[in-house]
Amino acid sequence: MIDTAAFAGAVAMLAGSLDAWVWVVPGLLIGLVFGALPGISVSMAMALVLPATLYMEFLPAIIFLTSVYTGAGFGGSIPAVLINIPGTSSAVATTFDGYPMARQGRHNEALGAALFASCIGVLISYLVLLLLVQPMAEVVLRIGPYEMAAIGIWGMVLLGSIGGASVAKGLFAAGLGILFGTVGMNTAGYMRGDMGIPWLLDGIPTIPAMVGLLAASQLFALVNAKFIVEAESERRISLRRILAGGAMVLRSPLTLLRGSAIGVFVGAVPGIGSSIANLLSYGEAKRSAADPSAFGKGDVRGVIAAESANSSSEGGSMATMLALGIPGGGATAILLAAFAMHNVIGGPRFMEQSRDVVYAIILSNFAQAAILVVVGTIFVYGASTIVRLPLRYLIPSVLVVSTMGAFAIEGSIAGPITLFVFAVLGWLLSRYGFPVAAVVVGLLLGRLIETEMLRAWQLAGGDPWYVLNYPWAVAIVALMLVSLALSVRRDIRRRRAVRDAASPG
Amino acid sequence: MERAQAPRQPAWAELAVVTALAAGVLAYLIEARGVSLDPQNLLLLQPTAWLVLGLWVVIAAGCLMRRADPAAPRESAGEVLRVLTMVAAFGLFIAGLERVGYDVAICVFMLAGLLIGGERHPAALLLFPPIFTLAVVHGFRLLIPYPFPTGLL
Amino acid sequence: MTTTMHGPRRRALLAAGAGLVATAPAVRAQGFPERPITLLVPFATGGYNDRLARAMAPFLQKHIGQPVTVMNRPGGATVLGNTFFLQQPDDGYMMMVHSAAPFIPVSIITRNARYRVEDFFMINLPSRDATVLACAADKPIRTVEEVVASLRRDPRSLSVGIQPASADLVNFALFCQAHGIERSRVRVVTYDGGGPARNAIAGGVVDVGLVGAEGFLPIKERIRPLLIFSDEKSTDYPDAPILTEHARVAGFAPQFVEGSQRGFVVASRFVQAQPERYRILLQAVERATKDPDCIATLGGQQLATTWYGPEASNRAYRATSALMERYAELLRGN
Repeated sequence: MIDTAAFAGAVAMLAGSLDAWVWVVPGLLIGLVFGALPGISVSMAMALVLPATLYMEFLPAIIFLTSVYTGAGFGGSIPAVLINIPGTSSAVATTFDGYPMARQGRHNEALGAALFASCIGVLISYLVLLLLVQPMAEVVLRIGPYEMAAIGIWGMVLLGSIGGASVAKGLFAAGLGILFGTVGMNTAGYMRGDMGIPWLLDGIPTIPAMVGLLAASQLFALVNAKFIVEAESERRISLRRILAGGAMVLRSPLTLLRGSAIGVFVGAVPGIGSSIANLLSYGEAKRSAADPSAFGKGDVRGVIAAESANSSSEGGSMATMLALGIPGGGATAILLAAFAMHNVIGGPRFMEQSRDVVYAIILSNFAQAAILVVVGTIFVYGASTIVRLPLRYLIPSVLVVSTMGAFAIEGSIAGPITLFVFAVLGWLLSRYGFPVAAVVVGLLLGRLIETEMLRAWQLAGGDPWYVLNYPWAVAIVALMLVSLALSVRRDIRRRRAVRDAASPG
Repeated sequence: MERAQAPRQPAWAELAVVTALAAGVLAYLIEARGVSLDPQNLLLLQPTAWLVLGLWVVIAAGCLMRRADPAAPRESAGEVLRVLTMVAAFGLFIAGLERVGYDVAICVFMLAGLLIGGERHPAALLLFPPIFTLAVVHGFRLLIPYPFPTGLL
Repeated sequence: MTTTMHGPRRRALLAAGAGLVATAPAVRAQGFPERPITLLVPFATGGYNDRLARAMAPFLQKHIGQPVTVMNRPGGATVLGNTFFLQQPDDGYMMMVHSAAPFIPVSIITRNARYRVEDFFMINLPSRDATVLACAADKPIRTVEEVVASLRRDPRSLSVGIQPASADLVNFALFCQAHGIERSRVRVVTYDGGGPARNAIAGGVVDVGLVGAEGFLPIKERIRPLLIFSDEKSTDYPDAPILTEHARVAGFAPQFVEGSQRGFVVASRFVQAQPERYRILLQAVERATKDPDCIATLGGQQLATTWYGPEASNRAYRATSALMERYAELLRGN
């Protein structure tokens, strides 16, 4: 499957060009910084450096951009762990266990685990890209609304009642999130819930809403605390413990591999991408764990699952872009634009004719993953000082930076307003025991599910049995039902055991 | 295994929040049905809205039937007030961004935030807000392609 | 950036601009432009308009004597960008690079936007796209006649991928009308963007679909173009039949709307208020468009550099707008 001559050409190309290497570390650093700023997404970071790449050679330009991509993929997890802010929408699931770990004083381990899971995820995804680019692209292009809706519903079922004490409150929160996701114009052109506000036509701005719900609400609740980490002795930043976190990743190979596989595949599907991949991977890790109740309370496997999936989706979306010339999301759209600016048209012809360049890009990404381990460790070491800042300084500062990040998304006041509304909502919800994470999951998956269900309905012409023409979708749903039934049975048994233990006689 | 029956103590605040949300959902459902009754409009929206409204009944009943839990930690009125002040300050900050300019709003909010957080050291109160504002305004000017109105900087 | 410009900086730029007097005397005599020009793109980075703006920027810069920067303001099917643009002062420091037709009229019809078609003035719309009816290359459908026969026999026999509220939808409606196909019964699958619709067609998720021809270029091998809604042969798809021919054979009067027409747009208010400044911008755009270096560079990136000029461009824009208005009900989805 590997063209050895082209492969050798790629090695020569990288070995002979200093230009191809000097941009890796700056790219990773830019990505880390932008990814770590709440609101600034991977694609924005890449859009901002795009003009600079105009004046570079083709290969260095692409390597620079993919370095930013790789760096930003991990950067988002830093604020996710330290202050419950998903720096990008693909780090949402990282907050579920990463932030509880930080509050317990295990921020070093959480960040170390996130970093290693990210790097290994990138590595695995590019390995898959190297070997399976063509067949994967073929499969991905054929995925239709039935399969996509099934994936979305799967995610919703896995995560719907996440972290809630009561099922009713969990479902209420998830339903609320789905409804938020449907605001604006849907794919069939119906406008609802926009209240006459022009910017709501595109729906509720996801990132400000998410940051508001998860982070700002949390910051309000912390107004009466002194530090994120209560115990002073735990506030230390330790290289040894960061590396220990990395070692935890190697001890959970199954979680890591499953997360990477989900990431590569989901990332490759145009229009889904890393934000869905990390949720699905987290949900699957939780479902298949022997002790799902440990998740959400600071279980390192949650961090590994989320981070391996969001970073491996990079390789997946690169596969679709390189093999088909189709951007799976914002980041690859910018890469394609960079291709075009260098008079290169991405797609099958480029793959055929410039196999050596494609290999060079892939090989460079292997190197990027390795370099990220070092650069990322240094970056994490510095960023962790956040836990040593008193909250009276941290809270207003983070609120201001989040507000600016929310503004940066569209350059209008829409972002800050959304941030505030959802911060208040999130604070109220979490105060009364509603799982805020379920609202976020609903918001992220609600629009996907609606869009795809709608297309499925259109494709069927309203005939519910039409779904039987799509065995894969049926298989996904059947699998989902079986696994759900199994976990419900397990839950009932466990509850019964707990009750029996609690009341002897 | 039943605990001794604690006196009933409805959770009024929680009831108010959940009812307000349910009312919002109902209003949204009515508005969406007003746009069109086509399944292409209501396919996911309507069943979800009904589900949420149904759950409201369950949760609201739960709030009314709530029994006092003596073990639950109670926060003092002062603590709640502090959080509310922070929420209000943040709201004013957002409202003021375009009116007084991002720089002025940030600086004032930082000062208010520090005061609410309990910082009383005059040097910190005088120095930190303007320095932080300067860094944020200049940093984001470099980072983002959009102009934002500023009062002084 | 414009809002934060203050006295001293402006004067400094003026002084710097004075150094350029020799390069563009007519421009300098009037003192316009004395600071950088912004190209506003109402779409996200990476699309056709964005690429066009970024590729043109250095050539505009050369002919206008001031730096030219690109700003993206996507959202609401260009409503947000258009509204923002009209809120700017009429000083000529901002131009739009836009798929003006049909996006401006369609946004007014379907999104209740508060501006009017006449608020915008076209300088030049070099890129003209046409709707293509296509299917995946591995589908059994070989000709447009097969599609027509199948849909006439049973409108539910084929699924059709399309963007709601687009020129493509209007073309599909006209096509159905001409062939007596009951459109309301056709299984139309809606996609909220040309990209997703194109992917669905290429992947065979829908049986056939209608999308702008440009979008198919990167994956040309994966699709079979069945019909181009145009009156002249496409250079990209020389073998694909065109609507006028198809209509002649089928015996109906050809009726279609053009696809996206993209290029440089300013506010009509600005043209009225500042005729001199408008003339300077017009001249710069014309010179840049006709610059041989520009033609070569943009050609390499598959970007158009045809000069139609304001008169022809505005005519095309108004004509498309009028057609869209005629099919307003259809676009609103009623």
